[in-house]
Amino acid sequence: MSSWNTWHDHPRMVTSPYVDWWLMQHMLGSGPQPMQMVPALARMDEFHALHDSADSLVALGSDPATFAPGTAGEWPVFPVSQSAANPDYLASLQGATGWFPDQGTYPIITKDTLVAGVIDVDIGLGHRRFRSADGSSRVLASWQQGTPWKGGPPHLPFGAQLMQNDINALLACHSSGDLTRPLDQEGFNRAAGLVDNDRPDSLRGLAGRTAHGTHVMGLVAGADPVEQASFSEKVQLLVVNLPPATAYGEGGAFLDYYLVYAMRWIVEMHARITRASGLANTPPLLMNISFGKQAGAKDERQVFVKEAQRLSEADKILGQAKFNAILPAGNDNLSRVHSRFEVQPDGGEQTLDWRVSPDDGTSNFVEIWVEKLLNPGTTSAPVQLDVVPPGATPGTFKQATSGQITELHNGLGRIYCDAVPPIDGKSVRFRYLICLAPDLFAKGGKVGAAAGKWQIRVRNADVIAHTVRASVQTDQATLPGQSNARQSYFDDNAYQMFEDTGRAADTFAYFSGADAAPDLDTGPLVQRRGTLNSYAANRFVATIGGHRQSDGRPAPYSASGVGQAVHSNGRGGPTVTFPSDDGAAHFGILSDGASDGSAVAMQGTSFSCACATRWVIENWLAGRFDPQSDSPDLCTFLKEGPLQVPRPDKWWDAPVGREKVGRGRVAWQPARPVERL
Amino acid sequence: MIQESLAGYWDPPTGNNSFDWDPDPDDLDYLPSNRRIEVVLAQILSRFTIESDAASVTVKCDGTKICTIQKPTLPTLNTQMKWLRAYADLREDRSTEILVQSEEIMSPFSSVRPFDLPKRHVTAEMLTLTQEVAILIEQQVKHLCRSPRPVEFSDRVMPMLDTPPHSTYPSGHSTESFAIASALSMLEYGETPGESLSADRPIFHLAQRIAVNRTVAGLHYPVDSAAGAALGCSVGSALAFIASGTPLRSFSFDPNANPEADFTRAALETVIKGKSSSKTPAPLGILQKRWVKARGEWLRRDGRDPDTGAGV
Repeated sequence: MSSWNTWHDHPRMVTSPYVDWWLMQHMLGSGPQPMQMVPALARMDEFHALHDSADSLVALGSDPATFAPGTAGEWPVFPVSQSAANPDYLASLQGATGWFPDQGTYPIITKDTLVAGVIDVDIGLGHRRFRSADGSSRVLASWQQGTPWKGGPPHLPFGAQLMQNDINALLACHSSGDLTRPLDQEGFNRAAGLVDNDRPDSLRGLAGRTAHGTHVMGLVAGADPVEQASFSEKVQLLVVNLPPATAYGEGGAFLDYYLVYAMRWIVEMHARITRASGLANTPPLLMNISFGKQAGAKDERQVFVKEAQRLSEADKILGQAKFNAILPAGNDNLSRVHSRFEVQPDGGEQTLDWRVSPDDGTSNFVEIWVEKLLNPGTTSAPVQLDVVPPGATPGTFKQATSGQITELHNGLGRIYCDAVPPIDGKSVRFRYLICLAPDLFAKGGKVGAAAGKWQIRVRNADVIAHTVRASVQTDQATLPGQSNARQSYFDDNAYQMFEDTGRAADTFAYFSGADAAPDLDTGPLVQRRGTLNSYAANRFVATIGGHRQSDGRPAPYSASGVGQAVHSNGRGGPTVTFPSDDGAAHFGILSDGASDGSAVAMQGTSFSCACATRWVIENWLAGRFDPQSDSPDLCTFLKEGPLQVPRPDKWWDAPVGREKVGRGRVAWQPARPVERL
Repeated sequence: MIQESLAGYWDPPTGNNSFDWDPDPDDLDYLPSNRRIEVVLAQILSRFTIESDAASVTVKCDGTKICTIQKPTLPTLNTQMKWLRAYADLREDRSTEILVQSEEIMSPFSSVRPFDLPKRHVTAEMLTLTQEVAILIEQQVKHLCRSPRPVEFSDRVMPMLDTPPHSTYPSGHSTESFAIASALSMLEYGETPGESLSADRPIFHLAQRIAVNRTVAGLHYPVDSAAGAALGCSVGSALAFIASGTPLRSFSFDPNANPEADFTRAALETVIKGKSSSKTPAPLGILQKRWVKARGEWLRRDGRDPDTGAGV
């Protein structure tokens, strides 16, 4: 087994080490599909909706030839499928006064409207529960990010946009010209770019039985257009259909950029619609983003979180819609993907076993973060790393500095060392990103990185103790429906997998009559605590875990926080939980299926998150909460939920841990058109 | 009563039919498939010999070496146990196909190349024959290489299926899968195993997956699969040699050369390249007729001659 070469400088063309790794593995033309580089919108540091936000973007350029490594600085770009990318995106922004055109045609809303922004995948726009009594769509505008580029609005970087009148025209076209008549759903979905059978890498979820985004949007805003006419009229939608997971890169690295674009698009579109409608007071905006990934800074150093911070600050500056985003806690609680430990000063060491599965056709990533904030300008990493391949003997620790890499022979692995600052640049935190090539290459007989037990050895080179967190990154398949992505995990003999009863062990046991929730997460190395979705482990968004409606048991898969905010903008657990399962034999909760009129059960915190969004909307309708208000703000109001909603009598009298449920469990989910047996 | 009432008076040989009777000894069309296989099988097996010494087993066809595999040492198998641990993580993903393949492995191949159709019944028969030959040879080789199964090393393997009583090395599933793939690639494409793998033919990827699935199930080490690949390719190639005179090829594998090795795609390439032999062919007539029929069942689109496999 080959060993790592010495740490050396590695001037990068691109900002993200994930993108840099992706470029080394695939280049633009030889990956699963041809790709085109698109500027990451996060570079638009001075954010002003309706104002001159395009300038800094245009200045970046898009020609990789102009960005020679080490000469032109870093390039904040990410690869997008060439078939979906707008080839003239940057040129179209030359001379523009904002991202969106001033003279666009925007739908009109009334002052009594709440706009729910839903960012998800496979959202069926034609469902009757997303339409008004006259059959017209309640979706004010939608952006299908993964749809092939067919000459859409020039400001759109990729995909296709449908405004409300476009959707209504398509609905009419596939309803014999009458919006109240039955819809040819398959024809509509294809015409709207929601289902595409022409490409192997395209979305087809709506052609199946269940569709994640449709289920989510059904919970957030689905309503009978006649029987719940008032709700339908007042709650309008802005929808972003994300591209298929295969577009996010193998470690989900590009999802951040798609989400940033999606959030900006919703905020911009909301502002444009508000202005076109001539409203003096901005109608409230709630965003449901039932997405996430595991590894990351879990603070504002992360691309997504950085944008959430910007947006949450921009609303105060610009007086526009308040940034209210609700995200799931995540479902990785039992996945053994998180470790947090302390290494003692002056050479203290710790070893973490990392299992990489055979037959894995995708890269594997582990992020290692030193928790302590260090002074800006610190370049020497306070801890050192030695990553031992299966069957190899440990190497020697060597000092790394920010910007350096070390590599395995033949490009089978690379470790990046970076000192990562937040927006204000007042500190840095050190991150190592370990990248391993797939262990299986389908063609060419190329030998991959070895599967088996890798060992990550950490040594403290500092004179003070350091707390270190390691997270396995979420793994993504390279084509829809493939099972070639295998989630690697940490392994530790002291990790308790099961309770004595045989039940999969959660962070805490759930015992009636116990004084406090018995702690089962006592392993010294691999912990459930800290598995929160890296997009949701911050105070800029509300974070929703899941519990079981029948007896109140926290969902075992629902991720746990570490118990306290590690940094000022972090969070120690979810805000609250909402139902994500109906009962022990009734996995998941019911909402809209892929076919209009169908109801299906889906399980996970994506759906408890959607319940929370709906609960906030219902409270706005009842006049109990204003999302535009700071008192209480969204998180504070959600925290009142466990007190507002009565605790069901049938729940066990069992204590729960704050790391799992935050301020408590809200026993509420939207009314549903059918009941389970 | 029906004979008496309809036949009437009967006094043979008076009134007997008159016909010619000069059966072709190479013609087996008159037999049902299973009987044909029984007739041919015995004759085919007489062409093989198996020899063993302390360190290796050698299989010969018509006196020429076609496969040599070294016997694994206990330390080698002990080292290989790490792969049993690693592959156990795939059980949930693979369980359905593993259970199917524990019963039979022909249908996975026919789903890739459709030989389970009436128009390809001779191909199906040739592949059944190939598997029969592979089983009989592999059991001999297993006995001579007798090696302990993974469960002997650890009670944590907990295989998904009952562990068979015979030797772990070489893997029977691997031997049979690669024998079938080799015979099929010769019938349809006229390609050696190495050529088919280079051409990215899915049947060899399938053979590898069937073999690896036995490691996932907790029954075999990767070296069992690699040895089975060498043995299976040699059996499939030898069958083509016996049937149609295509050049013999020899294959080999040494599990102790790299005890750490997994049975990956790259490792497979090394094993199944093989070496050609100049052995003079002596086709078995009764097999040759059926083999030619089987070749004719595949529509050629690449200009190759259906009888010889030669390029045009």
